[in-house]
Amino acid sequence: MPNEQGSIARRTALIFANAVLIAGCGGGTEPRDTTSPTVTSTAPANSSVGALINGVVRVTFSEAMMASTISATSVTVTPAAGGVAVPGSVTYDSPTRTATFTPLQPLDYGASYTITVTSAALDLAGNAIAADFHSTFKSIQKVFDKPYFQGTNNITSSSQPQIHVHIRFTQTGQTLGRPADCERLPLANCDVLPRNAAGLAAIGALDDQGVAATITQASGTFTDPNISFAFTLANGRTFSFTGTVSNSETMTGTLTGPTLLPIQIILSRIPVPES
Amino acid sequence: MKASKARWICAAIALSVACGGPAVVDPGPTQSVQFYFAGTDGSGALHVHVHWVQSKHNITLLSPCVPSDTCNITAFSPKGFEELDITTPLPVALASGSGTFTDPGITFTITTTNGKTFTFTGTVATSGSQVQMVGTLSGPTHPASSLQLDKTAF
Repeated sequence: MPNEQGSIARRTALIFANAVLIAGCGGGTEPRDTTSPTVTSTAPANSSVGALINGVVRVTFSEAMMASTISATSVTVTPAAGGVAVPGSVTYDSPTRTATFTPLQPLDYGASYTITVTSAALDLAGNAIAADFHSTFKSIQKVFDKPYFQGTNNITSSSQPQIHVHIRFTQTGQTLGRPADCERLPLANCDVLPRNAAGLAAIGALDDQGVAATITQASGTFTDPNISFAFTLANGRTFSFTGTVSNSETMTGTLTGPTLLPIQIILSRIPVPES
Repeated sequence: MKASKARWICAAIALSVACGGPAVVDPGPTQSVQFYFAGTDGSGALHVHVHWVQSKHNITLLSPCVPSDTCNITAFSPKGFEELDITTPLPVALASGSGTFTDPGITFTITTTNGKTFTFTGTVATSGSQVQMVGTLSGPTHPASSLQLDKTAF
């Protein structure tokens, strides 16, 4: 009898343990994941401008994805104007649920691109995104090669300094520098000319034909559309400009320096015959 | 009565024919030069800024054109200083300017505030938003030289 009672007790305990185990496991069949993944963000962001031509493109998903389905087939970057996809490689980082597209060659300057994620991209349960995803961005403008920019600040009184600026840059991505082949007068494109006596006082000694002060050093940053640069004249005086660029044609901003109170100036690209 | 009316009609027709028919209104040039132009002459001596106002075939200097930097001449070399008869590097303002635009031909004369006169004769070409004058600049103190003036933004 005691053995029978012990057996019943063991059976009861086993049933209880099973019940606990089943309850602990959630019981029954787990509902299947049928939710389609989505793209939660891209970098560059949708409709953004100024993307680096040698940068990468990132796509972040709403849930963990099947790494084997995130590839150059499911994530592409294509010129918005049409044509073949930009060649590149795609990697997937599980912890951040992010795909990274690395172009094999720099993007074009000032070009629009479309990021596409196709339904070939699957989550861990095998769900595809509901519909192909598209996002667009525009790469940084290439505006500071030849030709140069020029402009004179407007004044309302002859006592205000008025100066004329010719400036040209090399541009590598966001970095601006002074071209080695800047020309002097009469085809000057890296110099500053006084337009009145106050302007002459601000500029100082003129080294080129007694007419212009040559810009001997220049450097800056262009984070489309924002631009800032500083330059040094042959006489040692320094100036800095901060402003914005419009349509690759005009930069509007403030020029200042130790000998020049801030002035507003518009520098326009010199005309180029259109083909 | 009928003969009288017919004579009037004939007279009117004859008058019209004699006068060359309906008057032809000159629509003016196809191109426009009503812009600010800038350029340096071929000798490298003079840099010209000129801002035109156009009325069909006639052009006149924008007035007032100061204190902006669009109506003046700057010496770009010692020779330019001599030609402009100046001793400072500052530009000499234009006091007046006028000319004729026969499209594409153009001729104008400009005079500085210190009395130096220059004449330009050339042609105008438009390509898209770009307008260019190419010709010859000459004057009593300036031997004829080539000059290309480009429409320029302020």
